[in-house]
Amino acid sequence: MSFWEEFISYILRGWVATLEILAISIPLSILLGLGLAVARVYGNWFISLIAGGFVALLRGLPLVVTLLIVFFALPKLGIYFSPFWAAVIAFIMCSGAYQSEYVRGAIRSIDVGQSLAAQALGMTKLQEVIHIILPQAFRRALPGITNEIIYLVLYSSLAYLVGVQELFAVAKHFNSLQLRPIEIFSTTALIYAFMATIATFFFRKLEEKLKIPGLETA
Amino acid sequence: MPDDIVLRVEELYKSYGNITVLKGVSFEVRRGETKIICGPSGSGKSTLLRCLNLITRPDKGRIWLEGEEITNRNVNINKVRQKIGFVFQEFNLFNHLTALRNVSIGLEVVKKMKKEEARRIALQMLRKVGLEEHAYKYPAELSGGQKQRVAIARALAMNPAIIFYDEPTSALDPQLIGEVLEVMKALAREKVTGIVVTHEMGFAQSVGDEMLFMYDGKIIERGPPREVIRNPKCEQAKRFFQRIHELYAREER
Amino acid sequence: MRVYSKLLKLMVTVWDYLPYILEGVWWTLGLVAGGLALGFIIGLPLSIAQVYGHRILKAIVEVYAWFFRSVPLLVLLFLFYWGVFPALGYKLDPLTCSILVLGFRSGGYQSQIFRGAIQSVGEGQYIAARTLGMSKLQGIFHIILPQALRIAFPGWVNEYAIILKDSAICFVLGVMEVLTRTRYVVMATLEPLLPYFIAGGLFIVLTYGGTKLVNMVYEKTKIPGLIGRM
Repeated sequence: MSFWEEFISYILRGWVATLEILAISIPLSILLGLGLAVARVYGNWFISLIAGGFVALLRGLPLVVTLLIVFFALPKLGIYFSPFWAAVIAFIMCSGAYQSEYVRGAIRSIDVGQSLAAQALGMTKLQEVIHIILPQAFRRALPGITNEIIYLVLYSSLAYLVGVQELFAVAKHFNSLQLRPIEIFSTTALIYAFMATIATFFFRKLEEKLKIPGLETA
Repeated sequence: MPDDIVLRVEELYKSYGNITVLKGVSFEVRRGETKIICGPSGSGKSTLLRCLNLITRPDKGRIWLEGEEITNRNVNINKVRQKIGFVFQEFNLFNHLTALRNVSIGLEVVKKMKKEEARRIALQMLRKVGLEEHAYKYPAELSGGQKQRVAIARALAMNPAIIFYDEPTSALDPQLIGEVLEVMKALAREKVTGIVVTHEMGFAQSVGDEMLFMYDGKIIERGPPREVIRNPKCEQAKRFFQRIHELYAREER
Repeated sequence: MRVYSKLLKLMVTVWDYLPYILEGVWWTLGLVAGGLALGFIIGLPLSIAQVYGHRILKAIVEVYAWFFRSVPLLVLLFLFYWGVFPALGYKLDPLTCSILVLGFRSGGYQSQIFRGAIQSVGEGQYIAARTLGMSKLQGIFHIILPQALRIAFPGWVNEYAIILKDSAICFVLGVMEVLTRTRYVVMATLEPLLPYFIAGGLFIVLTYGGTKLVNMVYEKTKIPGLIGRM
């Protein structure tokens, strides 16, 4: 087998692991972002404080540090995660925190009249948030969310640090066997770039699909 | 309370900080009546309307809707609001929904109607305000007058016991005011119970049943619109209508 | 009693390794300063080229920005440290290599920050400058850039926060910054909780403290009407 053939078959396994990480992290981080934003805007002082504190913490810590704490430090408190889940949890928490900032800004940018009209119809707060506020806020926050998703795609490489055999880990291991760093790492780089670009296109298309005249991003 | 009194308001007070905006407002609205409320800005008209559907809670006073005291703390506010239609000065149409869905969403989400039934009623309401062919447009694609008519359809669709109009034409360009007033007049003639806060004296005189003139948080004059406008008794009302007449001087039939 | 002795053991160890970890802050700041500065030196000219240059130049900049914003830092570090620089004949120490990579990458991001800022300076400004007789270069340098830089400031401060957090990743090359030292401490004491929390605390302080400091400076030198956008 030539170098390239071996390399490709090797790397595909890592790539699948990366995709698994992303398949779970992306949707859950979006949900967490929405949840945290709603908690901060609509929660009582206690919930809002907790959510705000969580976001401040996760945005102040480097993702690496969060990841290492989740995997190495938490066991000392009795909380154990497998490498895969430690990585996924760290990614979801960190990305969710950043995304919640965009969603929160979007919610606050929505005219108060929308709330008033919803209340006047007799909607409960929950109905108002789900049917009127969030659909508009999500559209406004989408560019920011897209940005964070791209970061997720790239930072998924950090999972290597806790032993997940994802794309970068596999490439590095292959390099230690074959010692062709330029070919190996630049190909790896291009694969990530490819994923990032595809993700960008996907979210732009999503933005287009969801677009409503008059509901342009602030 | 007699059967045909839809709304009864007793001694409403509301303050914001040191400023008392409502200083004891009382009145009744009978079924089928169109009540007009007018007065200079700062007189408390908008605050009054917002207290009536409890978007703002009055500090003192009581309100009865169809015999039920809605100021009572144990009342389910959302159920009460289903019986009150509200048309805002700034329309407040839901930006992310088509005209049709704007009208039907209350039915679907609040009244838990089936989608087809809600759609049917919504189309009917849009037809009533003359906007059936714009059903699938978004608010941004509609003119101000069209937006307000959709807002009226939205309020109507809930089959309320009474509709509140909070200066419905104040945010509209002059040439668009007419279409909205036409719809409101038609509804008034159909005996849809309503309270209208407005400066449109022509409208008030043609379909209004009683006019309440508010000044500094109180109703200081009331009577048939024609009477109040042409022969105001108190000083403040005299000055107000004089100014209106000078500014608007528009003939309405 | 057991609790106290455990705490005592912790106390002694902490006072031992705390200075060691704290020393890493200098290295961290060095990485950040170096990366930010290099990113600025690269990013600003690139942004000007992208807005005012002709098509080919614009395309080059766009490819550069795309590449450095679409590849993970981890991959870039390995690619350059083990691959590109050796291939070019350079034997770089981890710190220099990290600063270079951080700088190239930041240059990509900063080019887009400045591009946005330049484009949001009203076109009328540039036209007015040219009308006065200024050359293209003079117009850019004297009229556009001063305004663009002020507009870009918040985005730039954000970039500081990002590089600060990314600097931790450079531990994979062995740079003696905070995280590297923390990991050594953990390996030595077999006690991951406190060291990692200390490291976390340091980063939080540097992130929020740094941005607050820089923002205070910005407030002092603000020009009314020239608000930046994040």
